[in-house]
Amino acid sequence: MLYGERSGYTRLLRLIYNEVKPMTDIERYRKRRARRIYSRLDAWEEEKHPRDASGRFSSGGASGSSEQKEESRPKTTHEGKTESKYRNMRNSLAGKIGKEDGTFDLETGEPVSFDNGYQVSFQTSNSEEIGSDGFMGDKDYDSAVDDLSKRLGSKPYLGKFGEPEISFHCNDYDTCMKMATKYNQHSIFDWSKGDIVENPFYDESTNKIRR
Amino acid sequence: MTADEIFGKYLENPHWKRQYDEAPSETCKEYIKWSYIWSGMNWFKTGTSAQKEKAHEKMNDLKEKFDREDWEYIIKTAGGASAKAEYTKQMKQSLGEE
Repeated sequence: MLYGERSGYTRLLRLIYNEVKPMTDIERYRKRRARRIYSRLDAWEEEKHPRDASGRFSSGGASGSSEQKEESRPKTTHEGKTESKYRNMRNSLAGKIGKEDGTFDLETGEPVSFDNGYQVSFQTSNSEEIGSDGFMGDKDYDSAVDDLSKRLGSKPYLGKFGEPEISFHCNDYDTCMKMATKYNQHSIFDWSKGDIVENPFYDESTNKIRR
Repeated sequence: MTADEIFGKYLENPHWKRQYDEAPSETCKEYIKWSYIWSGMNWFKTGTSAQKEKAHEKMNDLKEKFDREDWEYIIKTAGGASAKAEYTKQMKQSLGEE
């Protein structure tokens, strides 16, 4: 090998170096700062700081930059529409249904009723209130609907009693209970019994019941 | 976990305690109590199927004695649009409005 000619190993090292560039001072500072904030938050305690569907802290706080927060807020138009596919479907169907209350197929708008299984939602009063703890941006809302559809094996339904919400029908009690706990739901509805199963750990501070 | 322990567990939560305390009648209070016991048996996975069934039968018996004010309280305090709508249907049937 002549002087100056790079060996395969050197070329590989250079390739890696170009891909994984060393951190700049500002990046190092940001990383240290994030670590400090993270440790103050006791963030390893999942119960104290639950995460949303995308893995972010659902309580807001120190997680995410202000740019990220701004991005996740719904951009409303003059018609009050958001960029969320499911929020738009929900609001549009609720408008078409008018005064009738109940559970409806989100796609066809047909009223539905079940003889068994459970109805569970993820929406909270705070998830719909811009600026509140646990507010769900459009992307987060849509990804939660898609994620829960898969997990619960259910298409999304519209629950309507005044305020509309998206809910799911699932036959597996354990999965419903876990979802209700994760999303701080007041209860799940047992179709066969015609009663709600109340969540003993429900925290009303982030999910007020609309009366 | 006994029925009393489950009921006590729910009353430790300020929301559930307030819902119980503010019930408009003794019938409604009793219904809410059994509702907590039945829910807790499901949530904490305790009690036999027969015990769960018995608790739910008590709830149904008490529902039959509900007046409009009791029903309205149950609807008002229920979580979830589907549940509120279904309780409204039950109220109408119970009060002979359907």
